[in-house]
Amino acid sequence: MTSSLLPTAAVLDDDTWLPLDDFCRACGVDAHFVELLVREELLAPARREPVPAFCAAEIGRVRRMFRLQRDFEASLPAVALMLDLLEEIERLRAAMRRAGLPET
Amino acid sequence: MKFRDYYAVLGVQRDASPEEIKRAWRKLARKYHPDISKEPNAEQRMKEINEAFEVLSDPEKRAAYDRLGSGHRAGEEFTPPPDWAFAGGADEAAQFEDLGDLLDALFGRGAAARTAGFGADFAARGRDEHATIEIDLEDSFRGATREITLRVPVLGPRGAVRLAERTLAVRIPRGIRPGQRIRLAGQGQAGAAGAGDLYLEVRFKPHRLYRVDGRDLYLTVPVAPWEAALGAQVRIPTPDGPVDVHVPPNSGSGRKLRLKGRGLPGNPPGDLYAILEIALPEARTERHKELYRTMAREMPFDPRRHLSA
Repeated sequence: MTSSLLPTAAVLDDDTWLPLDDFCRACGVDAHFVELLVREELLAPARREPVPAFCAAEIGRVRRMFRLQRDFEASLPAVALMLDLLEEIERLRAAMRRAGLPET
Repeated sequence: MKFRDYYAVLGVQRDASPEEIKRAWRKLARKYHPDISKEPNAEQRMKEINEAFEVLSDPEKRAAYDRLGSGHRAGEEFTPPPDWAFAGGADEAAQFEDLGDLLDALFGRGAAARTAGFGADFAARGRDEHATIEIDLEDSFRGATREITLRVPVLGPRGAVRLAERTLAVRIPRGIRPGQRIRLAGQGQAGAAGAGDLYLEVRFKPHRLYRVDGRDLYLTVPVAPWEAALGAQVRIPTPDGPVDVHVPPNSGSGRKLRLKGRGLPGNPPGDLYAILEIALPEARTERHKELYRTMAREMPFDPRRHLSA
């Protein structure tokens, strides 16, 4: 086991924009998948010129969409629906959490 | 090399049909999918399940796996048979510590659509690594250093792949929120042309007192009926230490008192919301019961007025 002390960790803030390559790496997916999501309007770039860039806040969504279509052999329309449902569940859980109610 | 029993991972017999294997994988996906499963290591578990399915669902890989593993049990050491076809000869097999990596090298995991971004080509930049880290609320409030242990393939001296355990100390930035990601450059998997990055998703352990929503904190504050009715100064805990809060007179249950800037640090900092909950003192003694009866007599109060037609 090796141990190393790291001087800094860069937080990927919600308003951080990542160019396509960096965004793909941060999501753990290839550019083809990101382009597919954009074409299907499941993901919107923060800017298109000179090179597409994406908001770091979208990383979680993209990783989730990739996992859902891979693990459930789901089509992108199905993935879009699953995502909406999961996000609704999270909103409800957050409301319960704020109110001090048990989440499960 | 350790032998991993893919049939056991999927929970199927060795003679399972492709249909049975697929069904087993689907069932496990529903159970362990990281987006649904509550377990903290669901993503790791799902990786193992996917790896097992990738091998057993492909007839060629399955056949190779069956030949390789006959007579071995999970966790046992084994050496591949000498007639195993290797570009570099039988010695190279010993360099792969993981059965999965061995099969990857033989069949090229890049061919399967299962793992995105994976190339068996380590001449390039190493692969990025994704993991989650669970921290305490206090770690975000003050900033902290936390240790995590990763199990990652690393580049060995002869250019082969080894699995190694790596512990690193991670500096947790002050004010980080659940769901945010930290990028640690160069801490991903090693490649000949440099290492990839490590992406950590931050999660908070449930806190004894506070609930977290973005940068805001929520705290339930019980108050006595007279405190709620007459108003009061109450002392409540905050991550920075106790604070006196004014409860306005005639505060109902569920009333939210906002303590500006006392949530997670940031620009702007979050708020702490104290949610009042009126606690009822029990009427145990005759004296207490008399006090309640006096209130009933002298305070006209119909809480169910709105229920009648």
